[in-house]
Amino acid sequence: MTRTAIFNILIGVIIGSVLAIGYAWSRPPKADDATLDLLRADYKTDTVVMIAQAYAVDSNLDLARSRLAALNVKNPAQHVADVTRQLIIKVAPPTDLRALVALTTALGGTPPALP
Amino acid sequence: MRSPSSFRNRARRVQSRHSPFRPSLLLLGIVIGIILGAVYGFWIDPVKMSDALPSGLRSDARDQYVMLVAAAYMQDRNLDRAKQRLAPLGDPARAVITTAQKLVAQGKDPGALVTLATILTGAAAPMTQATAIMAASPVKPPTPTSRVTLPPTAAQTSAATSSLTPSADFKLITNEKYCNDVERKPLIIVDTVDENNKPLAGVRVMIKWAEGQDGFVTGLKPEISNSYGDFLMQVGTTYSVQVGSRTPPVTGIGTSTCVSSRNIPYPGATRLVFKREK
Repeated sequence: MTRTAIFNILIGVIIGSVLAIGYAWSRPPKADDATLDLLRADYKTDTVVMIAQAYAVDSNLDLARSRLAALNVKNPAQHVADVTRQLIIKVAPPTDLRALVALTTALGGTPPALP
Repeated sequence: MRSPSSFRNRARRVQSRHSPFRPSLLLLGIVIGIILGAVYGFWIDPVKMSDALPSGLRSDARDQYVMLVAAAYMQDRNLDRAKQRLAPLGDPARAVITTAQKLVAQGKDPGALVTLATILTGAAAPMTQATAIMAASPVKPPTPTSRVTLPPTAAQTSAATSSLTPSADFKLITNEKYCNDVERKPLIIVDTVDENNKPLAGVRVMIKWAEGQDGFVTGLKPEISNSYGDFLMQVGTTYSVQVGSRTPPVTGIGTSTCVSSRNIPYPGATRLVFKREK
């Protein structure tokens, strides 16, 4: 294969790739294709609260871990502790805060002190 | 003597020979590029939705979200909060019932979803809303053959202890002992049918006994029937069953004694069939 042939194919590949990627990325994502980790921040925070509430009822740490994994957080214990801090500032219901603290502790994290 | 046009053609040929572009190879490259670009743009690194609302969740994530709402409800028993959390999904009762149906269809325990569905369908809009939902939902049709039929000797229709009034929304049409030699569970089995005797799903059923109460919604076991619901009794406890919101409860329900084919007695079930009044 000559250098000219390779040059032509390469130019074609570049043009084709740009066109295809441009088309793929310009299309809006499907409206019903999101996963829990893509929820808006306030819903994601509330999801953590719900996970803590569920844990308060069933005491199933494995289930809580798998639910937190769906939120795609790197350090679940730290994340739950961070959510607890946020909600302390927002003066969330004490039952929510206690549930979050219990989950943080169960996950091996250090919960913030409750007011 | 050459014409001006032949000079032009010759010049074009010379130019073409020295041009680095070969249309056929360029086209081949573009095709390869489109394939590679599509693989990358659609599969390897597709556009993702961010800041999604619960309504934008994928089906499995939406079910997970609804299950979390139900589980959280079991902790705080705050119906308004549960409704608020389910609001982005549209009709809260519908969302819960749909998820519960999926779990049941997968052979999983709907657990807290049943409790929340019962409360949601019973609190504000008894029966009608949930009934419409369940009737419209894509559940499997009733499979009468999956139900164990009563042995003739076990069928014992008794007079209902309830005193129905014309204002009742349901009428008790069957109250019978139900023996299932295979399962041998002391169940309260409730079937609800409409005016035309067609299965009626989504009807709230409340069970009460001296120490407590529980409830369920018919149609959560579509593998049996869209109109079916059951409750496991404790031997020695007497229960009352109320269907709908206006029908007086059927009282005095308890385990009966059935006898297996090997003459071994076991606690039997009670089957109640309610028909919706016009």
